[in-house]
Amino acid sequence: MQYRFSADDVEMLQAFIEEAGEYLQRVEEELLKLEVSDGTPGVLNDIFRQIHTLKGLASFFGFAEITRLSHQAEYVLDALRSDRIQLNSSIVELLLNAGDALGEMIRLLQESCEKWNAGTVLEIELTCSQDVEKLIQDLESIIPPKPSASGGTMASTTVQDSLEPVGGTPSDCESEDKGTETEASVGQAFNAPNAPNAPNVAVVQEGSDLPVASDRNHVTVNQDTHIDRELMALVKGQASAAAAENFLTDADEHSEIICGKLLIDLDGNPGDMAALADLFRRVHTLKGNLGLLLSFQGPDAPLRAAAKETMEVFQRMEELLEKIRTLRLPVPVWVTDICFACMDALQRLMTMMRSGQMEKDPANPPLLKELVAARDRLDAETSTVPLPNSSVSATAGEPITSSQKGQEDPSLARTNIREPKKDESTSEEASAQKHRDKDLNSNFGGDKSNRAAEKTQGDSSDRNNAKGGSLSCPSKRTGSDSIHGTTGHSIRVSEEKINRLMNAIAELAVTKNAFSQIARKLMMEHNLPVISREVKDAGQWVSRISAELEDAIMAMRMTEVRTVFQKFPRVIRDIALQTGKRISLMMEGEDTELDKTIIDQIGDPLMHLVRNAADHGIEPEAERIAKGKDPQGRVWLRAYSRGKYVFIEIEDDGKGLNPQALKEKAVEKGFITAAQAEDMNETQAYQLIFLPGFSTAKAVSEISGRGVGMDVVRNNITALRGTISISSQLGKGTKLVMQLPLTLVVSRGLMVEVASQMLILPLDNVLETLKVPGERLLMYRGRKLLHHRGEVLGVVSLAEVIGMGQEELTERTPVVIVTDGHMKVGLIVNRLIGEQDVLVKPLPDYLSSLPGMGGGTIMGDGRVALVMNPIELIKMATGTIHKNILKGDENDG
Amino acid sequence: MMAENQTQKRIMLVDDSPFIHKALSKALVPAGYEICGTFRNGLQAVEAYGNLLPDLLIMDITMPVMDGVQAAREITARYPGAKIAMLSAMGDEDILAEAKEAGALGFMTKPFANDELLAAVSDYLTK
Repeated sequence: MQYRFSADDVEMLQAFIEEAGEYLQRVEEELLKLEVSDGTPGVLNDIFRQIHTLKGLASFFGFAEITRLSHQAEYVLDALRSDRIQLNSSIVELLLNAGDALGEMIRLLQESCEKWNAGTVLEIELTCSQDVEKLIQDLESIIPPKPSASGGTMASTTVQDSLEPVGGTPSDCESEDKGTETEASVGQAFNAPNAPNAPNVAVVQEGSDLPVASDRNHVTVNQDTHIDRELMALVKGQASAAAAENFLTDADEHSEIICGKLLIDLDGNPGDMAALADLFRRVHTLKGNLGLLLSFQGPDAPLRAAAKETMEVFQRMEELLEKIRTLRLPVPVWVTDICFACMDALQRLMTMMRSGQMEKDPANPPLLKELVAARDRLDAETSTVPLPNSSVSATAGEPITSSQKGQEDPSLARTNIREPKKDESTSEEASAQKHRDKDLNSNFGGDKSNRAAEKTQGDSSDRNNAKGGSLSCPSKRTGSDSIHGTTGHSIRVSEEKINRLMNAIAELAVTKNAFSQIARKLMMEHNLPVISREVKDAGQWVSRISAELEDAIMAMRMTEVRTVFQKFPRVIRDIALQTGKRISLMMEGEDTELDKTIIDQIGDPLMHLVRNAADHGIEPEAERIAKGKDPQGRVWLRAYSRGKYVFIEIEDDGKGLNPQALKEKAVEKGFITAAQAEDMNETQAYQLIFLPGFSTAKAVSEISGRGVGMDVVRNNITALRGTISISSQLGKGTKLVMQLPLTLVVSRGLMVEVASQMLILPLDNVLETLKVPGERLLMYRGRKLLHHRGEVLGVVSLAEVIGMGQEELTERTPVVIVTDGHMKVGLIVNRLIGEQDVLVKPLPDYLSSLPGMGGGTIMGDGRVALVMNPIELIKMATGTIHKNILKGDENDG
Repeated sequence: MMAENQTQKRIMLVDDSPFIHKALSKALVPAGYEICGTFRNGLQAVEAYGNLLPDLLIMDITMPVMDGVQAAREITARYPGAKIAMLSAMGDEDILAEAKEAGALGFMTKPFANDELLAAVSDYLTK
């Protein structure tokens, strides 16, 4: 149906849309809650109220489809809460469908509003992919017909019929209806002139009859649905991009929660009904979103074919879950596996959408087949097993995956459930059948232990169900809180905008230094102390504000490590499946915050370390048992902050590193000499794994890849100005600790002068500064050495390292000792100038390949200074040392 | 419409939907009424009524925490002169009698047209 809105009314329409969206969202959540909470009146009342309010609001605009559908849904809900009808899954399904239809129409309105040009008349064609009339009829048919309604045919029931006051007797309301029908005066709420059904108003005062809004004219509304196809095509084209964008955002969120939490939870506790309900809801939403996405694609759109298959996947996935949910089965492991596969299909679609390269996903048809097979398998497993013998054989035939071993075997539980396989049998039938089955079971004389097992299994699954029922509301809440809770009210802002703001703030931080320089100039050159003082004061104010802005933008960029951590449960699970090990992952401190840039970049190194821990660290189950360890391996992932650093630890209780094996390998590969190996203590030996090309795994596995790992990991971490250290105990496990700075943007640096250039050394890497007499620097094989604090320290001239000549040694030669976390090197400089805050900006591309340079910064006086990268500097310095020593050795030999 | 030469009448609005607040304000404010407070549920209305003492209270029936009928009951118990008009949507019909008995002057149905609403309001105010 078509609606027109004047510019004046669009504002109200937008307010309506926003509110309606919220109501529908809650309705959907609570409907799903309803199933697990067995129709708690509170939940029903909530849903009822939301729908009621929605209906009231829609009536202001005369949206007949929305008003009528929500009215009918409300009526059903009222019947439910007053116990006139009993809740069952088909009613919930129908209500969910109604909610979806309402949601779709609201979204259509919203999209139209977004496309609307201010000042023009807004025309909206309200359509719905579902048959609204059919939905209304279906909803009507739920409620048993009343005597008073017998006159009218149910199929063409008018709203009037369903308007019967709930408590009133049929005769009463009929007379009231007649009394007020004509009295209800008609006005137009928001001057929507073309709305075919003008909103009704009844103002009734004390003494007059009770009002009943007359809606007879609503009934005829749907007959004149002619669709202006050209207009629709236009709107769709524009809306398509927006729809895709929305889809991706939503799908990302659902995917994260499904893969990172719900499926993992179900894997650990297959009877977790709350997780299953949440999973079902999200899969249902995703399916709906896919449908919406499809509705914006023309018949030839490249996305259409790809998305259509994915939608089918989700359709089947939903069916599968629905079945499990209605039968209240614990979720079998193989279903969890398929769910993961389905989520992967969604990921592939999203990747295609993002890259713009649409083609049919070759993995989807086999997946669809698998889903069909899964459905059959589920049917087979839940069908009545006539004899105890066959139940035993079914148990034996069940493949037992390694990850299930040792726990209560879920396959037992599965065969134990004798829900009749009768497609979509009604709940009464099902429960009746259940009773019969119970009787049958009690007559089985067979295997006693089997029966005992059945009994305990049955009990425990009952308990699970009970738990799922009674606890589902609070536990679901905490579940979603743990994921969304900390977000609170938030807005999504593109990173680019944040970066722009950050750059502006950085400029401000630099510009503020001008105040003190002008102040000095006024004082020294113009002798104006009063004005100079004022300028200085103003500068201090600006400084304070600027510092506050810096803090604020930093806080904005802080992201929880959860965003990185949440993919690991899946990773561990996959590795466990592939390797046949049993591994549990323990995560701590997921709410620790780090700068977004760092978060983005630790994902890969972390992934590598976690895989290493699970793949190489944890021993196969048999080996663990032989060693007397818990057969289930454990991997810990911890994050915590200390001072200005965040630490991330990856620990496993696996086999640990063998320092002797590491040394032998290093010698064998020619990294170190046998003599060097002799001198190494254990801690040093562990560091060997960070050498490029060093890998201890004899067999390169699919999971951990080849030995490119640890040196790349270390480089990634050091590029973030972090460090990584390793400790291990043979037979007990390995622990890697990453130390990362909270933020990359502002850092403190030590400014030095070298060859009349200003250079900045990041303070994170500076250990100390010294002034040493030139003669204390000893020459040994062409290198300078310094005895310092009982150690021998290699010293190089910074100017020489970066190819800018050589400093003269003086009585008090300034030396800066820098470290990369392991090695220390003394750098000779010309002059130490001082510490200061620096905002490091990356060097332009054509300069970025210069070795030893980390970036540039603008100083207070507007001059540019280079920021050094001490890690590269140390490499450059030690590289030469290393080479010389080797050369020396060769000469000696 | 509103009687001339009178001090501005103060109206308090209670509805769980901010949309309704907006819609009512949009009709009432240009006509010279003051909206002295807007609330989202019955309990808030009961708590705030004594402080505001509005000339007219327009209140929804179906609301969370405390519904309009209960709120009307509690307000009229404490302030017998309170003028309360209930807002109702279709579906609320069976509760209207209860609301009257709870002390409501009368009813206005959603959706309302501005002129009808204003007529009703001025009528209630002169009662």
